[in-house]
Amino acid sequence: MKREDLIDALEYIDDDLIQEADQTRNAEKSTGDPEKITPLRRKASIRRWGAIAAGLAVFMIGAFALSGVFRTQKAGTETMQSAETVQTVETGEAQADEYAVAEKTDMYYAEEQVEVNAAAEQADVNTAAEQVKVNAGTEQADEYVPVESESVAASAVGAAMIRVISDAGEIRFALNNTPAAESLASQLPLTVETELYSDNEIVFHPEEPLPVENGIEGGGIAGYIGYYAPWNNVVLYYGDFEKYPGLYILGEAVSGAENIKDIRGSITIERE
Amino acid sequence: MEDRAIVDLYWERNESAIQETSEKYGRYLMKIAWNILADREDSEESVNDTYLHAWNAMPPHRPQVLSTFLGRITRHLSIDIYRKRNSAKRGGSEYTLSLDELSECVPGDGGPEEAFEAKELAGHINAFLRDLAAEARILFIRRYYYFDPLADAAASLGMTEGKAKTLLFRTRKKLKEYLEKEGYIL
Repeated sequence: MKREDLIDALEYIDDDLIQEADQTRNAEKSTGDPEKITPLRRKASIRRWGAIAAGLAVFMIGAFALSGVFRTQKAGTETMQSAETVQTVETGEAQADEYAVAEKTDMYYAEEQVEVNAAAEQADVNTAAEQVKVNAGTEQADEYVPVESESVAASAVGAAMIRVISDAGEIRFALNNTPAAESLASQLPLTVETELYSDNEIVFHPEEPLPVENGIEGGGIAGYIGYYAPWNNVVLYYGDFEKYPGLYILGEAVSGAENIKDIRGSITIERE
Repeated sequence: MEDRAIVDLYWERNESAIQETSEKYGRYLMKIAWNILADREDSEESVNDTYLHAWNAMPPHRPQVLSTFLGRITRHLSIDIYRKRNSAKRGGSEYTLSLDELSECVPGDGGPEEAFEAKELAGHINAFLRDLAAEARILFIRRYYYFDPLADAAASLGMTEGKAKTLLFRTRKKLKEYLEKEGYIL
């Protein structure tokens, strides 16, 4: 066997394994051009230059104020001298002071620059940390959005409650009172094989197609249950989804919605 | 646009399918090609060929996971391009590095020409991967399926590069033992 054979064999590994790894790469999908600076780096870069500019501005104001103080002190000590002498001395001293200030300026500048750079680096680290937090927050939000009490999905009066039992855990859904949802409830209990679809759906086929008359077409959020009529797919969502022709909302999770994304293989659906 | 809608466009033979695919998955596919080819022109060629293959495959195919379906095509085409060109002159991609690392699993390079099927081997690798802890499995796939740089894969899993390297080393060793047990002459 050659090492290339392994690479070739990996081409046939299962979709769900690839998708599992793919989920950790999702953040890179939108910024995948390897030759372009990433938004995170760009943001950090902007912050770095902003910090340097701010540091320089603060320093220049400080240097100007210091120069003014020296000038005032000189003016006080030189009042007893003749105007011509004062002018000459003042010019010379002022020049010397300015040199001294300039030297100090360089020294302060160097120190401040080091501080500014350190601050900029810290800012980068903070930015990265913040970004990680934001990403983590977004991912969390993608995974599970708390169910709103008065949502379209389960607004029906007397809606059926169903329970999905899987290796990933139990999920309880409140169905709405559309004919499609009622038809699904009437087919329970069911044990079916699930499939992954796209990057936000777990799908399965009900035994009988669901009627879609008077159904609620629309998009939704993680935790919703829907029905895509053209393919006879009941869909459990673990990410947001858009309205699409033929896609009907059946209800939404009231508990365990965070388990949807981990569902694999067979599930059992029961009516409560 | 939803994957389902994009797939429908292919089935309707609507050319905007390619535009929609490019907008949603272009960068993702470019990253896969880049990891293997480390060359912008070749990577673009591979991604454009991916769209053509997708166009020819749908219909009759209706992929369940469009990103995986497209990524698999890009990976295959990119490896083909890589093998066709002189790798000695233009090496240095993550593919080359991954290939070197996998040599540990197949030390018998140049052995008897056994007629084994890649799909059969893949079946064993699937079984092996399913027995691994999720972290090790994801890292292995990111490194040897996607050819992601080690640093990127490690960072996205929240581990250091050193830890990722060690984990991959152990996984390769286990894979070698597993394949030997399954009767592969290595």
